[in-house]
Amino acid sequence: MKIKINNLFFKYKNINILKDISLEIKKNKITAISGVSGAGKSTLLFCLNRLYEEFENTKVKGSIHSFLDNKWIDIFDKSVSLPWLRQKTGLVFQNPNPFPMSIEKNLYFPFRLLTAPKIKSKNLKTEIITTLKKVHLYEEVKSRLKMPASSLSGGQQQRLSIARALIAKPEIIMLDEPTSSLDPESEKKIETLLKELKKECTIIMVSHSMEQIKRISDHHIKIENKTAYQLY
Amino acid sequence: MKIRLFKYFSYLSFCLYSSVLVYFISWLLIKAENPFSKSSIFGNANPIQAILLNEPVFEGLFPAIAGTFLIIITSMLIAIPAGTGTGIFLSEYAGKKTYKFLSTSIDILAGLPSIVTGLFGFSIILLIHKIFDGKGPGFSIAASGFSLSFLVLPYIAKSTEEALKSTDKALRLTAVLLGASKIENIRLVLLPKNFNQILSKILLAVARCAEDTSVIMLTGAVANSGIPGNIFEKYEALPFFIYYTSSEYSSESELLMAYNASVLLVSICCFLFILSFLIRKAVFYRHNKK
Amino acid sequence: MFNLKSKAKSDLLLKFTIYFGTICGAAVIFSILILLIFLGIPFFKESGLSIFFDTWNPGKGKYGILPMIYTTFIIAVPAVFAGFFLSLGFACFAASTGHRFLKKPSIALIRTASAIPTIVYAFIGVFLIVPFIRNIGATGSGYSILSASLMLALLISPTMIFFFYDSIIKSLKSLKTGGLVLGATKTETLLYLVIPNAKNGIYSGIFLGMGRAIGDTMISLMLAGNSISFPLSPFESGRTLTAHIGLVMAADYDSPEFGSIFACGILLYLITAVLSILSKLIYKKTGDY
Repeated sequence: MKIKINNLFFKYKNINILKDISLEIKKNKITAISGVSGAGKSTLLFCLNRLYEEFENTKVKGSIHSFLDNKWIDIFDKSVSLPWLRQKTGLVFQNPNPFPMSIEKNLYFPFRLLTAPKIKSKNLKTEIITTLKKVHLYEEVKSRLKMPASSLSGGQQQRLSIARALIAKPEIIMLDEPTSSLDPESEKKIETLLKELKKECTIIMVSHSMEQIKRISDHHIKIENKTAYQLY
Repeated sequence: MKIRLFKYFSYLSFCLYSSVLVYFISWLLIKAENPFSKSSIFGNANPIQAILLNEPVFEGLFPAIAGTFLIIITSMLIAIPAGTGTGIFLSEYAGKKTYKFLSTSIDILAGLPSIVTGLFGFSIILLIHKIFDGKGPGFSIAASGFSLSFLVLPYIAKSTEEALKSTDKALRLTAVLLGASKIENIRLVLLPKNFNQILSKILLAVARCAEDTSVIMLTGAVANSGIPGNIFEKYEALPFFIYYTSSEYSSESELLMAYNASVLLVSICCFLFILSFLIRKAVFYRHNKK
Repeated sequence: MFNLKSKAKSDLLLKFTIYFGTICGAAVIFSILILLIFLGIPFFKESGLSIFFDTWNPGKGKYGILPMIYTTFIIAVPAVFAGFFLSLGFACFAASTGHRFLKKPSIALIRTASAIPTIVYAFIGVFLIVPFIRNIGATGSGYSILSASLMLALLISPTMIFFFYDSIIKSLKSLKTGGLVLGATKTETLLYLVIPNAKNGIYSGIFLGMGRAIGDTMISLMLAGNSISFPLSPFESGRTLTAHIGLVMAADYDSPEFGSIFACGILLYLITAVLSILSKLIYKKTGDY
């Protein structure tokens, strides 16, 4: 087990978005979350790495415990370092958001942080190439690593965002509709990637496509009427 | 750690700057004594008689205030129509080449040091002196007002242009689609819609005129002239008073007048800034009331 | 119905205003330069262009403005340097690193500071900074290039802070979440993502500050001492291009001394024109870094 969510309530501007959610996320498995638009899927993801705290008028009740660094941590505890939590629980947004710099610099960014994974500087470049190969982007960009990331197509930018999140070496990775803007071929590549990735990480994925969920997920949670139903 | 250093550096900047600024402002406020009082402004003269120009004011700031007031009016009479006219032209009528040329010129004019604008005004006075052989307008309110208008013209022009350009595309086309001509569109739709913004910037320009020293120094401000009889005479002004008193004061009470003048000038400018801010924001209230 | 005559009149009035205004605006920019050159010609005839490169020595008939050029830069450059660091730190504080309750008041403080006229800054400088410098400097009366530089830095900071703050806030909006979600702290996001992305606005602010520092008159006039020399120690006094114009104005209209102020004026005009154009060009570059 990787994450235990107990009696989670989420309020935005005093309106309940999530009511009394209790779930378990299993380790090294792909958990898919589905639900209608606005049901609260992204909100649930934002709770798991406390990103909601960056927005105003948000209130949370209940508890979430994650098994990180070989310990059970209550993530709402005041002593938890937010940057550390967010590095461990990575998030990839629905809309790709590459930084306004070159592709290379985008990928180097997690290494400059205090929470960076401990890798020797001579191995950084290899690490970047490995990750690019994982997301099946290397062949397409290997000749233009120094070009601005904004010059990539939407699908390529999405894969870049995923690669960038993976460089930080998170234990849990959350993806908000990762393949919604991709063509079927890229979609297939990402699905393969996720299946390989679950050996290293625990994956939580929001998806609208039932076929995709059936194809790759081990568990399926549905959010309806502000509560969550674990379908399997 | 570089990051921590940077954070502390920002804290340091804040503390340093705030403490120095607060210290300076408080020092000035403490040193001034009743800057808004009758005696500070009118000295020993009767206020009403002084305003009616029946009694001269000797130990008060009234002449300087009056002078500042007069040059503001004169300069605004030129700058407002010229500035808004240029702004409207830039936004609505200028072709690409004309726009580039005019816009760069306005930017250069905006960046000119005020003393150069003053020098320009001074040169015009010299030229008139030469042409009319010593007769004709010289150092005066007219000359200062004329020069000051060039100081603020680029600012008003740019602000008008920006305000008009920021109008919603749909709104811009509405009247035209109903049959209005370009000039009617400007007069009836674009100008009223952006009136608040333009007015608020004009108020800031007024503040700029009130506080400027270099231009008036070269075009007509003097130490002791009382209130001018007409706009072709020399005059006193608040900023100039502060300047020459600080370099040539003979008594503590004179210096005190300078402190009071400073506080008065700062208050006038702050008042104009606040008014400008309120007018700019007022447009939101009008729309949100619905 | 509506009075057609009065409508047409208002339209005509507006049109007239527009064209009249534009002609004024366009004419002024060139007339300033032309007038200055025109009036300066009789003096240039005597000393030629050397007036820009010579030093001031009335005894030898030399009225060069080189000492003024030197002093202008020796005062402006340190002021912009110090002002830049002060303003950047303050802007970062107000935009991100500051405590919640201090952020809004700090901006209010800057708004107040920007409403204070230059003459009041100079006035305060005469009575607070000059004595202070006089005490800590072994030599001099306190009227020095250091006093002028310090006050100038304080003067140009509010403008720079506003420029930096606006650019940083804009950049912060789009990049903050992206950085945080990768495990960056707020300051890491600020330093590594936001500020590099705000480079354009920051450069613009610096140019603006530089323009103001070079073009300011009252502070150099009242605090720097006004002696014509090449001040080497910060406690020595000097005269800037701007102060020179203000001081010589009262002199005899036909003296070569008098002509030097037109040289100053033309030089200032050219410098600020170049700065304006450069700052516009830099701002146009795209935001990728």
